[in-house]
Parts: sequence; structure tokens; C-alpha cells
Amino acid sequence: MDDLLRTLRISAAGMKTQGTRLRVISENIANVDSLPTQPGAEPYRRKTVTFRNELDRAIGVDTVRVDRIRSDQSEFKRRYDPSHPAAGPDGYVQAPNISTLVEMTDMREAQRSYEANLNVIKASKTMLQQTIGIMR
Amino acid sequence: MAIDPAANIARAAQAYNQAQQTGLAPNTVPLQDANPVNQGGFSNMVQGYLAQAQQVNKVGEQMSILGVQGQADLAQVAMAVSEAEVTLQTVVAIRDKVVEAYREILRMPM
Repeated sequence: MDDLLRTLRISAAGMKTQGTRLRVISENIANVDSLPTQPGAEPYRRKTVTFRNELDRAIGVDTVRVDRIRSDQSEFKRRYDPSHPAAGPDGYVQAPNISTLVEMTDMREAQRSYEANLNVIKASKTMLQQTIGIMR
Repeated sequence: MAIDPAANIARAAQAYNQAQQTGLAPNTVPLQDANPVNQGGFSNMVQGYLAQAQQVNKVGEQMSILGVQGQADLAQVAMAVSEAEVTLQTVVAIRDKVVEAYREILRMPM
């Protein structure tokens, strides 16, 4: 398979993984207020996604895959809310270990990576079409 | 050197025959890969590319249907459709060149 056509496949894989990353980010942002439902239960735990390099043997290129979606094991935050059903005796509730600022920055990174892959696809497609134009 | 129409026509016909029999050199078009598409001459090469284009277009259509159903990734659908488009443009360009070459030879004065 032609190298430029391989480029299309690789960049499509890159875009797919950035899409998965954005989905996990959106899950985290949506659940920033998911406090525990009962005393002693845990709130929503932040998810992180890792990527790995994978050799695609069929076309012989290094593509990227989502490795695993893991839980962030850092400590939960605490909020003062004595009226909450899951509040402890001191009035504090455990809150998810999500920082909206970090997630938004992550989201921008995912968007830039997605756009970079998209630009690679556009460049290789333009090159292919210009090559075909020579034959006309 | 006087121009001899008969000799020119003979030479042109010989060159066309030669081109038909030997085929083009490898790696002259973008979709060339290692399979024996251009063994056996010009017409076989064009047939090979037509078959390849058919296959790529079929895959592109299937991916579009999956995309509409929501089962395929948008990036993969876009990639398959782009591949089909590029292949189709290549085949059309080759076809145009073949037809033009044939017409050019037909146009030779008798």
C-alpha cells in the first residue's frame, strides 16, 4: 500500500484515540459533582486514559491504540456540606478527585492533537490529488 | 531527410505494439504495490486497477453505511471515503490517458 494511503490510516487511528480521550475527559467533567449516595460510599473516581504504540502488521505501520482506561488513585477531595445524606459526623462529604481546570486543559490538548492529525490527513490527501493531477 | 508517411505509420504502430506487450515500468502511478498488476501489458494493468478501484469503492460504501448507522468511527469513514475518492480519480485519469493515446493513433492520416 502506498505510503500516503498508509498515512491516512495512521492519522485516522490517531484521531480515534484522541476522541476516546475526549470522551473520558467529558465523563470526568460531567461527574465533577457526583458525591457518594450513602455514608461510607465512595464518590466518582477520576478516570485516566493511556495510549500505546501498536504495530499494524497488515499494512506495516506503527499506529496508536488506547491502552487502558484506569482510575486515578489520588485522594478524594472533601466538601463541607452537613445537609448531604452522605456527610460524615464532621459535616464533610468526600468529593471526586477532579479538577475542572486540569480537565479543560486536557481537553484543549486532545483538541490540538486531533487537529494535528486532521492536518496530516489533509496534507497527504492534497499530495495524492496533486500527483493524480499530473496524469490529466 | 524526407518525411515518409508510410514509414512513420509503421514505426508508430510498432511502438504501440511494443507498449502493449511490455507494459509500463513499475511505480509510475500512486497505487502501485507489489502484486503482479502490470505483468502482461497495458490492458491487464488497467484491468487490475479497475478491480482494485471496485474493491476500494465497495469498502468505502460499506464504511459509509456503518457510519450512518453509528457503528463505525467517523475518522475511519472519512478515511475510507478519501481512499475510494483517490482511487477513483486515479482510475479515471489512467482511463483518460489510454483513450487519448488510442484516439491519437486513430487520428493518424492514411
